[in-house]
Amino acid sequence: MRGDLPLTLRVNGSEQTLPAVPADTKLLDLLRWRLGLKGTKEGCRTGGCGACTVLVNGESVLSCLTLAREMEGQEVTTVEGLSGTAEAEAVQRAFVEAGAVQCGYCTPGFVMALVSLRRERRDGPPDLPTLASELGGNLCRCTGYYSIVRALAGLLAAPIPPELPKSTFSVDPGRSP
Amino acid sequence: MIRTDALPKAQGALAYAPDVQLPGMLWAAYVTSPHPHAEIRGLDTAPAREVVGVVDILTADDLPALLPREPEPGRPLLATRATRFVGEPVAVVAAETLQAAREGAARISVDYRVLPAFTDLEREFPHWPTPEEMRSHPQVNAHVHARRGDFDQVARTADHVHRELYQTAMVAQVPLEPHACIARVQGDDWYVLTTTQTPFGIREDLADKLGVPQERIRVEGTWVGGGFGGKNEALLEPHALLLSRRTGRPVRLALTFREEFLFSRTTQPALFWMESCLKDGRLVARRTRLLLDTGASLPGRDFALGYSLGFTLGPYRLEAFELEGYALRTHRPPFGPHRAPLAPQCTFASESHLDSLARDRGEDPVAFRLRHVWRPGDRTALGQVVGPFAAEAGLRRAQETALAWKASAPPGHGVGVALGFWSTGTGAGGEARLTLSPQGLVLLQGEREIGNGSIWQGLPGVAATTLGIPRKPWRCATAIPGTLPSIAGSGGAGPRRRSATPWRRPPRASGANSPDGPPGPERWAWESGAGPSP
Ligand code: FES
Ligand code: FES
Repeated sequence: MRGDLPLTLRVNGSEQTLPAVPADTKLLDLLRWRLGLKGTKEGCRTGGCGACTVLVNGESVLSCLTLAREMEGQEVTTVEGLSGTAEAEAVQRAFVEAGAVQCGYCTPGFVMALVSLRRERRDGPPDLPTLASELGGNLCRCTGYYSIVRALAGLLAAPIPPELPKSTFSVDPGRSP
Repeated sequence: MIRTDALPKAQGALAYAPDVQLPGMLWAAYVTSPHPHAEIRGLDTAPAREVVGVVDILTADDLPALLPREPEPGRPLLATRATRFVGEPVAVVAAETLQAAREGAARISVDYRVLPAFTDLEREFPHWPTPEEMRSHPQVNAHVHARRGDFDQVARTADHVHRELYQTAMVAQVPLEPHACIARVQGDDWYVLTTTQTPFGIREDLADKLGVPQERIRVEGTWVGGGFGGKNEALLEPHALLLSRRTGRPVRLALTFREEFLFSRTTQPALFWMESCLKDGRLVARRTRLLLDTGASLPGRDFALGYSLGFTLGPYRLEAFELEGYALRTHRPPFGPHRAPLAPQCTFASESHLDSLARDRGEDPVAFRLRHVWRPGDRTALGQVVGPFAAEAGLRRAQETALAWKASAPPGHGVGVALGFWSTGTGAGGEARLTLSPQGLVLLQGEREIGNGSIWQGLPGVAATTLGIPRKPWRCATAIPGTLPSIAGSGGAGPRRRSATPWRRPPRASGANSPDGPPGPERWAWESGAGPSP
């Protein structure tokens, strides 16, 4: 089509050249449909949910709001590229162990955002409230967020904040009258 | 317990319906109504057909030739002469790319004449209506009335009758994974891969909507990225199947987030007139009168009324009660359950009302609940005998915790208490089947894992415990409808309870479509904790 141009970028460490990329192609669609990287999820497509989070030169961006052609010469990392690395595994394990993965559709986005947040603060770990509030752009419809906060606490080896219900409301039917 | 599906999900390694692409697949997009109620005077698809890449356009005019019989009145697959709610599909465009489909959809021009719309329950009903008003009201879909004892009689002799009006707003499920499906019709084989809580239910619904016998329809469920009650009905599947039928190619259809709010099924506003009678400081009777907006839903259907109205009585001892409700057809999106059909709304009204009653009496809200909550052996409103019930223990723990929270609550934060309960595993039945196959010991069942673990982890766990066999190695497979008898959909923990009790030797299956035959990905969706379906 008119306006299609070739694009060269690095994705998960390897150089990719795509012959014809329309000017309005989103990075999200390029990754999912032209490169087959479906770990990056499509949620709202309007910048509201964080499911599509990827790293561009190490910083988290919403791929649904990023034009693919802006990526010329850039380094893009998706959850596939990060999985298996120690920093991703730490985050993924924390989520798994805290029961923070339910349907799991939001999880890759959370993982990407968290990895990038943790990289930003190399001189000292961010505290839990900061981390939790900086993840405000990532939505989860299943968990009610408490298990995600628990995952963050696990990651930071921080105590679970007292103003959040611990297991207070999980009534044990075995102990009921 | 560590969920075995959790890590592959966190790694982005599992495929959901929106991730699937079939060779030669077309992309489709909707044209939806911008008006709650409007006459369609004309529809011009010509400009859309000029868009490069547009392959087919489906409108209401095409339906009679495609459907063997008239659709149920009031339930058109595409808006015909009038639109009934904002977001109602008017046309569907299939194209080589999603951009072309969207571009085509945007170019379709519809000539609407806007008509008066009924969208505001509160304005229409400032007071609880009289029976006469309702008898002749054209918008009544359903009416429910149930009582025990004589509420009015109790009210006359009560020390105090507490009366309040509560209202709840529209709420949409909006799972993070939008509705998406891929349909492929080849001859008599109507195949659809979709994100659904209930593959069996979708098949029945499709047979009903398309007039195709159930045996010809194969519904394959994928991992579900959240359902919350919103993935129980065949919404997009009929359109995708019809487009595939016409074009001879696989067709992918997915909702945008905007459509997710409008065209998927949403819980609509409700008004609750609550009345409670106190005698000697005790709650003795309650009456709930409910008006429920059921949107552009079908006449004659009860929806959530009969099922949920009882939740407005709470889990509390009562001598008398009266429940009455009307479901009203309006020009809002059709009603659907959001995390239990109307139960959260009923519980909200009931518990808020109870709080205000306790406050009125100057009594602690937890203590007030403790005085009235069911104990084992009590009878529910419907006459069931209460078995083991955790509410009292839960309230006592809440009492302790609330004190601690109150002490540590930051300024501007409050602490409240509410007591909710839910019935599960009742009604529709289910069946699961254990098979020793070349792949190992396989649990075949007909529901989808929606994210709470009850299918993927719960069912094999229950089966292993009951049969006294090790939990691993197991595979959990989902039956394509046809391989097991009808099975209700996945909601809450219901599936585990239904499919797991009782476990017994299954009758011998027969026929080509039975699990005794060689399994293949076309018939069963194989899953393993280690990665996507092989
Ligand atoms: S899909 Fe990008 S923010 Fe929701
Ligand atoms: S786990 Fe389902 S949206 Fe987060």
